[in-house]
Amino acid sequence: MAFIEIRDFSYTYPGRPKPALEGINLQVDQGRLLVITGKSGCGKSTLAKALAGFLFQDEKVKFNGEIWVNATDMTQVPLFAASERVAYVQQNPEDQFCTLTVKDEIAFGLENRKIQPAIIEDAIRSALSVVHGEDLLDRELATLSGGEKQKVAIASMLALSPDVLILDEPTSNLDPNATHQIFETLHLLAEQRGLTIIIIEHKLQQIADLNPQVIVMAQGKLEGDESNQPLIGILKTEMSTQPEENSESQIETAGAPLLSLSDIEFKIHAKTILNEINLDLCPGEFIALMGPNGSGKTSLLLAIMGLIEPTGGTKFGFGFDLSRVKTSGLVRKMGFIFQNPDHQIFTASIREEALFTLQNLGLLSRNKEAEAMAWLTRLGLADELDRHPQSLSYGEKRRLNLISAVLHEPKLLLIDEMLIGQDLENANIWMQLLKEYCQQGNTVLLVNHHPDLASRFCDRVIFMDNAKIQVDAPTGAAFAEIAALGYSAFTPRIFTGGPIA
Amino acid sequence: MRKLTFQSGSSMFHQLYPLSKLIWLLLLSALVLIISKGLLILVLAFLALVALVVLCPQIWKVRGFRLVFFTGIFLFFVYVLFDKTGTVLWDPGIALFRITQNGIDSGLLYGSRFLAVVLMSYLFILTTNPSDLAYSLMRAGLPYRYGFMLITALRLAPILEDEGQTIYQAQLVRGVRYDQGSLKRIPLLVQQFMTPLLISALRRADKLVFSMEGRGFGQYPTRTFRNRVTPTYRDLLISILLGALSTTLLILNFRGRL
Repeated sequence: MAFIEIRDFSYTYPGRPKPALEGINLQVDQGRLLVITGKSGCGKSTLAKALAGFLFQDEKVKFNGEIWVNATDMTQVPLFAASERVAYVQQNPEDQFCTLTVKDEIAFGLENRKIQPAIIEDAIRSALSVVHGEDLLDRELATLSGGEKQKVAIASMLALSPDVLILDEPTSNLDPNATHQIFETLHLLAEQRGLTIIIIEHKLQQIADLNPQVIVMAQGKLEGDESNQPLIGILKTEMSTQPEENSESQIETAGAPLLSLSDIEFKIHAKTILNEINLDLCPGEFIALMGPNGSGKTSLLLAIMGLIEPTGGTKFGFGFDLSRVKTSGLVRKMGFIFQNPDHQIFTASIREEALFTLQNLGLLSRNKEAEAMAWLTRLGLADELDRHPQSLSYGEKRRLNLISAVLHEPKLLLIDEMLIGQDLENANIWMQLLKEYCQQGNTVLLVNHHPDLASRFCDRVIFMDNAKIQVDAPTGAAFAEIAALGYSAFTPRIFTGGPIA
Repeated sequence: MRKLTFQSGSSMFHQLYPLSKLIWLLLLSALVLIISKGLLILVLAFLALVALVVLCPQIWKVRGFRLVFFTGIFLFFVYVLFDKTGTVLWDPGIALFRITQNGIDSGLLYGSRFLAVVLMSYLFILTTNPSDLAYSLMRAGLPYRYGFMLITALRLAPILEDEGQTIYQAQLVRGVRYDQGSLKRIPLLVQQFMTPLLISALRRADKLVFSMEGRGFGQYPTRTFRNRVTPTYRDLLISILLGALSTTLLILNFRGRL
């Protein structure tokens, strides 16, 4: 028997008609790196949770088949026994932490297993050293950056010395710098520790050199174990979903700017969040706002929308001095999509949700309803109009967020990290939709961590770090400047000289 | 600093063992209720106030602190103005302003009781890391499931606060107006706000269960604890001092002529 062996495994979530996983057969050898990839919602996470034994704790669950990890059938053991075989690092480390300090977090599992205190201290240090996080030892979790949090989350699992480590999209919330760090950690674990690792990931280029076994999933099934096919082949299919370069189609950004910020400054308790922000946003521009986590991108969007009040500077837009206009006075002109879809769904049906903003603004009409239906149909949400939107998948919720933010045709659409958790194909569709929206004369300011997509679709890139705008230029020139400033992780592969399949 | 929360630091109060601090907070609160002479309690309240101001000079900016402080002083004047029994000390001719011994005594007693308990609690909260408190309670015998209720609550509270803020902002940008319309809309507004918050909280709880049980939480009825803060000679010393102070106050209360 192989180290990991899945035999004819099928699984149906309670209350769902269709199985989430169907007829899965898979073998993985000890010490191997397995990559699970596939579109959003194809069952990757479900498979990973099955491997970790998470899906079998309720007696009513329906499943067939067996999952063997190092001679334990994961479908038959309680969760604590399963955890001795497989450790599962969740997508967002925030969701995983159950204590307040780095030490307590790493000690948590060991204490539960009644390990002696003296041994725990050593185990904490050695787990941190594996992820190269020794300097984090005495920190509080709340003070860590995104990449550091992910390192601690991984260390807290490594401390339990599992046979298999599963990472569920470990870099989806991270900026390119932190992503790079996590992939380095992954290399350490795979090469030096010989740990069996399973990773769900879209960014395949960065692990290609580890010679992973790759499986592609679609609609709950394996599309084929690609272990014999070189990774480069999969990368090619991945790249082929991207459209041709269209940055040449110059948008006519005519006329006066829609919105002008001058010398905007924002401080909280003597900490500078935004500093010397000077910015003109013109009609028809599709702008990417990039920069490391914590550089002030979200705060800039909030300041533009009037959701935070800058401590200095002026803001003109739509012919008014906006410094004293409340958010409610700007809603007709501007739309805003927040990062987490769960925080911006307020009604009980897809139909109501799509029309929610129109209704609040008193803009609801027959025409608008027809327009809403057209959007819903186009984005594949028109089949179950009465379904509760919170029961939609992540990607579907994001689409609904977009519809409900654009139906009142805001001239300026502000979007915070839309592309997190979206596969490349979906991300491409998104960028195309937004591009079209700009071509109608509207402006989109999109926070994102995807240099490749930004260079293909956006007209202009604004790069922030340390609360300031470091670069603000048309896309091509901007990436050259960003590379020149030493932030090469934030540039498309053309500028870093990396391989493009 | 605007909220009343733990402030990290290295003062003597910070370095005391959380459990001994908690026990002394409870003992001294009981003492304050036992003692019936206002002046004695005022000594305690004053000591707590001095400690607070020294440890945390911005204490006056903490939300609610001024209100609490002036409530204590207000209580004193209420008794002075409305308790007219006992020896008359000063009589300006207007009944309301006639001051009596009992008025002063009760005012001092209730005003300083209130201040002493509140100020000591402030001192405790500002200098005690709640997570350390939870761990020390568990080591003292509190079942760890209850201890971790406290720790996960501490972990989730600021996250939920942030989420609530985001949901409110997301509603504003979608045209929800809290300041318009009739009272009939209130249930709808509450529903629109609470649904996403509740769903988000449930999702978090779900993931937290995986995270905790996936690391052996609940496997055994007890667990070990890594070496965290432990009681030191400092705790003993402070306990002796506070014990002496309490005894003195009790003796003065029941025997003294104050």
